[in-house]
Amino acid sequence: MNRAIDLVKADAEAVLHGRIEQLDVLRGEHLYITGCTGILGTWLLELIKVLNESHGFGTRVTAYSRRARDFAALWAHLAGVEGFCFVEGDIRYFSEFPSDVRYIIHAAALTDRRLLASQPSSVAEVNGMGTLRILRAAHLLEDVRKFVLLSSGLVYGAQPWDMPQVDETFAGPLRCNDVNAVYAESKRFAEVAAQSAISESKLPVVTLRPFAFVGPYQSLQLPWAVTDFIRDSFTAGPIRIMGDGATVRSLMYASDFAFGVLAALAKGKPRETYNIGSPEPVDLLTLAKMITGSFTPAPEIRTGLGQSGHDHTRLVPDIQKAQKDLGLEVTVPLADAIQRTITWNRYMQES
Amino acid sequence: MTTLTHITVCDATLRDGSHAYSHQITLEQVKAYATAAELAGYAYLEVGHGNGLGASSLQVGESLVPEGEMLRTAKQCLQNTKLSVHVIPGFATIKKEIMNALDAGVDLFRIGCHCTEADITQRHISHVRGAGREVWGVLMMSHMASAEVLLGEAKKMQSYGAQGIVLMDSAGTYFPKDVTEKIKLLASSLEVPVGFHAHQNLGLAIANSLAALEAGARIIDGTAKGFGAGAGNAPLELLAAVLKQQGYQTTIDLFKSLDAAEIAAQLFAGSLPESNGITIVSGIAGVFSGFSKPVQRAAKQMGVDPRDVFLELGKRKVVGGQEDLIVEVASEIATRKGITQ
Repeated sequence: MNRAIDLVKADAEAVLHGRIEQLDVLRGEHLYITGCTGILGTWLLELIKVLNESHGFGTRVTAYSRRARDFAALWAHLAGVEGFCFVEGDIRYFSEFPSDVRYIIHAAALTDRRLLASQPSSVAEVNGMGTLRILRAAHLLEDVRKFVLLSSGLVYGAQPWDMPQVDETFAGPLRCNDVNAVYAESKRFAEVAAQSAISESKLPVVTLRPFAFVGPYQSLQLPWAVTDFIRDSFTAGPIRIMGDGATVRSLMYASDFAFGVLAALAKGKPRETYNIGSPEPVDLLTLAKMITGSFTPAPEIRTGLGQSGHDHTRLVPDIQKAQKDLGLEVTVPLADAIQRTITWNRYMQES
Repeated sequence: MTTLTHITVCDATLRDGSHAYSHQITLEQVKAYATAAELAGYAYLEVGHGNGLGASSLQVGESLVPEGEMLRTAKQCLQNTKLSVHVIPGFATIKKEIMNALDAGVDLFRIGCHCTEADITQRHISHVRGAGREVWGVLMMSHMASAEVLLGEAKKMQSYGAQGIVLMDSAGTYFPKDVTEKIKLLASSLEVPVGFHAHQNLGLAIANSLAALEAGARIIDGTAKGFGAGAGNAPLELLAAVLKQQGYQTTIDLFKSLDAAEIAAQLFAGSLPESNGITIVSGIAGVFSGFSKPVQRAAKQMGVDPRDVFLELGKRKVVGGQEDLIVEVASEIATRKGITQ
């Protein structure tokens, strides 16, 4: 496990290299992070750990999650960091923040699409009502400097195939009378609740719309294309693609994602909304080949296994606004991101 | 047809046929039939207890041989044909039956449930995907739900990671127009391939299978000589011929398929399903075909007409897993008619 931890530490140091001063306002502050046990929350902790241990930030973090205790037991190198405190709880019943908190990242949400299918009303409750609860608690604090809301790139609905990238002004179609829209609609509700908090109590909310990510700490059990491909490659394949592999996505490495969120906390303009993700498109077939190429022998890739007519969807963000305001960059190219994710999983399997 | 559409043909003889054989299939029969199925070129051969992994029990009938032995025996006979199993959460647990089946080399897990209860398949589907094996979702007794409800349940299974969805006409009660409506909606709305599993109670298994294919199904189930529960399934040898005549692409060798049917006829002589008053009424009542033998036993025990038992079970919308109600219903009918035991 040590090699896996070292790999992440090296990536955290790399993404922060030469950009420390951008985060200076976080020195000595008390950050509150909801949903700290997902891939984003874990990487945020990794970056703050480096800021504290190598750059003397002295930033304290309260990490709030429904499974905080298990997380702390599993990742002792994070649980043991001075100034990190883990609190177990459910945002639906959240009551108040510690009084000295001035920076908040609200990342807690139900995102597993298996859960979206089985318990859609829970998704609406946690992502929608839970966010409302967090916003109201934030309103009670005396001096909130920044509140970062993690929304989703799915709030745009279907990105037109002929639109290369979707920017923050696009208002795509969503079918609110379709249960499958519950996740996107819950995030839309969270966003408008945040806008309401800005209007009513001048809460300085910055909204982020994340797209797709890859990296260490991402569970390979999640039924997403990249996790499917990596997991199936570890079991020697085959990789099964229902369509012809032309579906287009983009993937940002977790360290870049986490830096973007911290930059939004430090530099994001209140009331603004930013896409966060990689602007580089990749089709699923290319992605599958990129992944299988890291295994010997390379697992077989099978395409065209599903029903026809569902092959071509596209989800790629325009991140110019985040590049300008937050300094968001893709510092880890996709091929390296895939390679490092596979290596981390290998280390974990061997430990 | 102007284009050749590839169809995946699944042979359920050694699983659905288990119902027709009171789950007494021997290892010798498994070996002989699996060898024939491999030669016939079926894409998958499903093996095990009629109700799937872990179902061998007093309630639904005990298998003659342990399922692990059945699976390993079949696996040894297969090269191109892949080994599949039927799984109903509740009968099968992840830690025991699914882990054992993974060890036995099962290639495809078909996780089934009553057609409105897809939620119960989440953990099983996810586990099999996590293990890197192929997994489909199966919606049983699908005549009991509308096309829209079936689509919702199928989408759940797809979300869990299912790589195919099969609708089962478990009661053999569908007409081609029903199949067309339901398969068409699923095939046009799901990303994963859609399949159909027919039963022969109303003599429509082949017609319904063809309707499914014409509506967009890419997976079709059958059994040699229709060897399956109730009045049996779509006979594979007939399916092979019909698919060939209709220009569908498959991996089947027609003559070897016909040979496999003859081998099945010899192996299971005396137990091949046939249409009779009971299976017809079962189809009309919309009752699970696997109830055929237990109903006949209970009716005989209580001295009542098994057709009355089927009709009453149909009124109560009884589903697989509620076998304990059969005796209760037969007993009530006997009481109502003043029959004393």
